[in-house]
Amino acid sequence: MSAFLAALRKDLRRRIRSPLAAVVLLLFPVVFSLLIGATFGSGGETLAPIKLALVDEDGGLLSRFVQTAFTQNESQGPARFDVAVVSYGEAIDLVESDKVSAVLRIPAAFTDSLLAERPVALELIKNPAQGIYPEIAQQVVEVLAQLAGAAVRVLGEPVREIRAATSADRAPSDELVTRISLAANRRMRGVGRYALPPAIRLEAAAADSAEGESASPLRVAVYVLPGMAVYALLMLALVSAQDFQRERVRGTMARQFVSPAPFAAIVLGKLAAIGLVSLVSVAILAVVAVLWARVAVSLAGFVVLSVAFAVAATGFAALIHSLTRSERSGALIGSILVMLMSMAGGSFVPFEMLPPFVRAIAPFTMTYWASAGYKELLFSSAGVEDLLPHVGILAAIGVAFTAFATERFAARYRTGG
Amino acid sequence: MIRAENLRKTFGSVRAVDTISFHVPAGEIYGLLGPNGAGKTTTISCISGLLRPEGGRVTIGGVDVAADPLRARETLGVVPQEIAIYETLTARENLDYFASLHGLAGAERRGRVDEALERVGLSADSKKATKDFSGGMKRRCNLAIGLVSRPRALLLDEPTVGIDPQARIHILDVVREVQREGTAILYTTHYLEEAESLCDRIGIMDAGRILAEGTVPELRRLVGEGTLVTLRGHFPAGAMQTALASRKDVRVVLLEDDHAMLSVSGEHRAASEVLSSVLRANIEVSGISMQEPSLQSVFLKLTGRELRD
Repeated sequence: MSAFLAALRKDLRRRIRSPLAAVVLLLFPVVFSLLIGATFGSGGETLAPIKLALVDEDGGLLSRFVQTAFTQNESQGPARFDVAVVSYGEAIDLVESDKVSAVLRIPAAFTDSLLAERPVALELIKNPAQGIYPEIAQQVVEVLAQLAGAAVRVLGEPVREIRAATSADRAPSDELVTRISLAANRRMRGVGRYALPPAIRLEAAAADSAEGESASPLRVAVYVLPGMAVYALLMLALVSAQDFQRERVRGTMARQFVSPAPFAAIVLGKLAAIGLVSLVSVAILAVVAVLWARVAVSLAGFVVLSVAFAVAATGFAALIHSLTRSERSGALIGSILVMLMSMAGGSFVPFEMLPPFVRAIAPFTMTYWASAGYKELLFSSAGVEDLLPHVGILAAIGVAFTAFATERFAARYRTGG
Repeated sequence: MIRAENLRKTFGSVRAVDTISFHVPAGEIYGLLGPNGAGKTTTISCISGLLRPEGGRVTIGGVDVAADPLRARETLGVVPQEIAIYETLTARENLDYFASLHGLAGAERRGRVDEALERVGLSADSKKATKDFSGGMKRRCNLAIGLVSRPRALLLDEPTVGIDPQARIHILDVVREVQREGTAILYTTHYLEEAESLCDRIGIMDAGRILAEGTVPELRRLVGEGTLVTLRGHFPAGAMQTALASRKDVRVVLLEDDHAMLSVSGEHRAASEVLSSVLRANIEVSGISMQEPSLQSVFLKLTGRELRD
């Protein structure tokens, strides 16, 4: 027992004196989760308004519709437009002086041509000096052109009547308004099953947003964190276990083994130090996660799950380094395996989004059981009894790997391999 | 105290230790002298129980290492060839850790650590991280770890490799001091002078075998009492024997195609007469050197090549 404690104390002291690798690996899941949150959460920066020069050579009903589309929806969608209606010459000057991202030219007879269902072209001149903004403008105009084309094909007749009514000197009669409304209603019902579903989806998204359940960067980050933490802690165990290879090369391992202390006490003391470092790291990350998520988690569940995971991670890392011949090969093979297990176990991508065949193999990875356990602790208020399968499997993996690795180390020293 | 009998260890097809036997009684320094790759370190590893030999038996203080390795190691100290210390720990922490592995605790452990540090001259630097030590200081710390348990049997595997002469002298002084206290010491080296000046008995080792064993004078006698004359040139089969047939004061120690070693008794003048005899027999000689018998000449006689530092 004293040799075990001496080995544990010695390695903890060494870890404390060289903390860089542990700190970097500990920061990794936090920073990475925040990046993921910032990328996929809705609280990110919106784009600055795109400056667009609009040349309206038509001046008709539908060209005004296009203008309105650009100017009245500024608050909606990720792309907002700052539109200046100018002449063609002024527009070209604006492009050349790099004051607008693009020029949209609506040709003469645009409305007439559309209503007569004749082909018509909108001209978009992109500013070559700018990067992404002209491309966004092109995408938006393309969508708008498709919408306008579809609208005219569906509602062509009522629109023609509206134009005739609005261009007349006197106000339209009630009968005319009723007839146009009925015609428009009939057309809309005809395309309803195509047009309505998107509208319904839009409304549903708006309702979610109103309840304050939007995916903020922190909420996304805290959902990603458990999986990333599992990945990082496996890597930390792997890096810590490289010490077996380093000590072998430097001769300190052999030196311990020629002492009267039992072989297993020395190896287990070393593994305990790796496990303890993992456990402390888990605790630090757990505090971060709980503060982010602002949820109460079962302390007992957390401790039991974390001890089981630390045992599993340590056993895995020891196994890799007992089977490989050098620090480099151990690090390489171990990293690849951790990466694959993390991918399959849902550390990087939510488990529900994985392809079916990956979901089928996920339960054979320790990352799956660890990630799932921590997610249940954080998001499903799981207690110790809910986590028993996770804890049992992780502990069994850890004990089996540790026993096998210890035997491998012993065999290796006996034969001089 | 340390006894090896018919020890055998192979790595694949290589016989690293080929059926060797020796005994180191208490208070004696037994040197294993040989070039790199001779099998010295493998022998040490088998004796310490780190490697399991395929054949033979090792006992330390009468305890069979294979049967009861932990008890056998209770009286054993090992100083490996590489500097096997923890660089982020201080010298005191290093010694303290290895003392714990020997079951030492509390005041006794602290006392042993102080004693070992004092012995190797590191007391003043005991709280410095060993990564800040010079090469010689690291070597001394390496030695101190082997001494911290006050072993009755000590294995020293080339403990002076790569250090300056002053540090070497210090380490050799410590080894002699430990010997005087009655410790049995197995000392491997490829430094001839070191073995000659330090060891009570020497086993000359090459290719896993002990070729000869004895005190330094006993080993020297293997190449004769007289002056050693080494000739370089071209020596056809039988020519040298014919040329020297009439000389009773000359003994051929070693004869190969391109060099010959002769032991010439009597005065130095006899050596030049021997050379004249060889030249008269039309044997081509391109170089000549003379020396008194030494371990180098013994090694040359036994292996056909020189042992270089």
